[in-house]
Amino acid sequence: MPDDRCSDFPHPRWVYGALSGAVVLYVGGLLLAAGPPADVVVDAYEFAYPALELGNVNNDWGFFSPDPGPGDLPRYEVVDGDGRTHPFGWMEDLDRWDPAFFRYTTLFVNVMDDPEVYGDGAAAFLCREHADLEPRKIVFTVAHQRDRSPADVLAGRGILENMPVDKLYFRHCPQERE
Amino acid sequence: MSARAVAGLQTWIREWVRFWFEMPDTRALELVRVGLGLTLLVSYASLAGHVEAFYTEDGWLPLALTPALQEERTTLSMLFVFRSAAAAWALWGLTVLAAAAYALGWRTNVAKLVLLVGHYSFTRRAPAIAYGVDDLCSNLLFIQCFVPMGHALALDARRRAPLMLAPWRQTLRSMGLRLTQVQMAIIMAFAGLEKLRGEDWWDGLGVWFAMTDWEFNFVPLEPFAAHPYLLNLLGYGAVLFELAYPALIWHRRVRGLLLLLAIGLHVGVAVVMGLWLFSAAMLASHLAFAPPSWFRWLHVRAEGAPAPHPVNGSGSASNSSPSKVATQGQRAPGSTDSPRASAR
Repeated sequence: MPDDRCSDFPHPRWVYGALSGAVVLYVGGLLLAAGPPADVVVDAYEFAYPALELGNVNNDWGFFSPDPGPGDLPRYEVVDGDGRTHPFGWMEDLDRWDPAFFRYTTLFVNVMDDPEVYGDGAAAFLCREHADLEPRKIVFTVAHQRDRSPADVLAGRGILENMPVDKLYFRHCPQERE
Repeated sequence: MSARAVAGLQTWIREWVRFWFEMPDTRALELVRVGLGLTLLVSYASLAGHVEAFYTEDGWLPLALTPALQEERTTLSMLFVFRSAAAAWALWGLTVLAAAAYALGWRTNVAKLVLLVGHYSFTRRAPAIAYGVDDLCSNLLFIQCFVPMGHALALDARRRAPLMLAPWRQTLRSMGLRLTQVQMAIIMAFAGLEKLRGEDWWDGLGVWFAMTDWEFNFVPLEPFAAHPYLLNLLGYGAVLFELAYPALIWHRRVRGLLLLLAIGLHVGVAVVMGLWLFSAAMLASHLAFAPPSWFRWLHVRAEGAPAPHPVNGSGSASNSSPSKVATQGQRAPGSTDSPRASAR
């Protein structure tokens, strides 16, 4: 049998070929997932999407970019059987020093941004949590932080002052639907 | 094709193979493992009080009301099959134990598979609570699952003495370490490039606006507001560092300095913005570039170095052929610290 080894490496050529293919696919996936939204990148991304998800390389790594602030604070209101509204701070009510703090903030932002996927589940949970209020529906709202420059802060304007609040969407409590 | 072109192509292929598959020292991979294991251990241990809230039908994300979570064929999770609270708790316990075992390097190559299954299952079951730390850990874990681990800084390494690696193991470890390094360079490059698109970063106030986002506001703002030059320095410094890192980290002379800057950056992010778990994962990734001097400091033997003799404390030499040495795990006389050199 002919010796298939590269002259100064310990493995046959096909081994390096196969491993090189894996390397190119992985690095290509990383670049594709983080790449700019050019047509060629977007089309290739859509084609490769299942593989990117499976290999877990589907990330854009844009930490705090392109612009980091100001933030949005998800909130909600419980509407009870008498039509009274009970507002809750939600994100602002979290314990900042709880190790799961960022799990909850991430969850709340997702509930705010993606009602089709997360709205029903979050509403059902909140309806159970506030059963003592005999809730009829949950209204999801968001408070928008204002831009605060260093000069604003030195002038005593806090980052949570005068936040405009928008209503996003609502979900009826499950028993209400029935 | 001309002879010169063929020679050039052969040289290029040789360099490619050397770069990806023939790294002589892959101990840095084990530093990454320890950092990754500890990060996942703390991450999952901190979820102890929240397992039912995040991963069961009585929580925020009941599968009955969030069917979209299972729509993609590539989204796999044990918790899609086993949906009870008991199953979630059992998987959580296994994942915590696997993370601890992986950090310690105990049954490393079994622990990493259990950890991968657990981590994938939890992040796929509740993607709404996953953030940067989970993505980065998934990537590192994915790479390390294809690589023989536990050859240094591990309890397994004690059982496995001496430390010589078979050629195929060393090739896979080389590929794993290079992938981790290249991935880190890509992450830093895109983190820097994306910031260039932002007005806040361009104006030197990127760090300020990140700090004033309530979610990341862990420190009083007034001291920073009183020093706008400091804010500019931190903002531009972060962008320049992220852009320079992928180009300069490959140069030995500046690698130590860049790693120290990376440690400073991520410790700063942890303290000022509260993202200590994410910072830990980033620091674990940076360790892929740890220079050999760090291992001398940690008293970690070079790969291929003989284990101390149980009686006289010195390494034993052998007259075996180099290839036999590789499989027997002993060192050929006159060989270098490079396992590849020994293997040849």
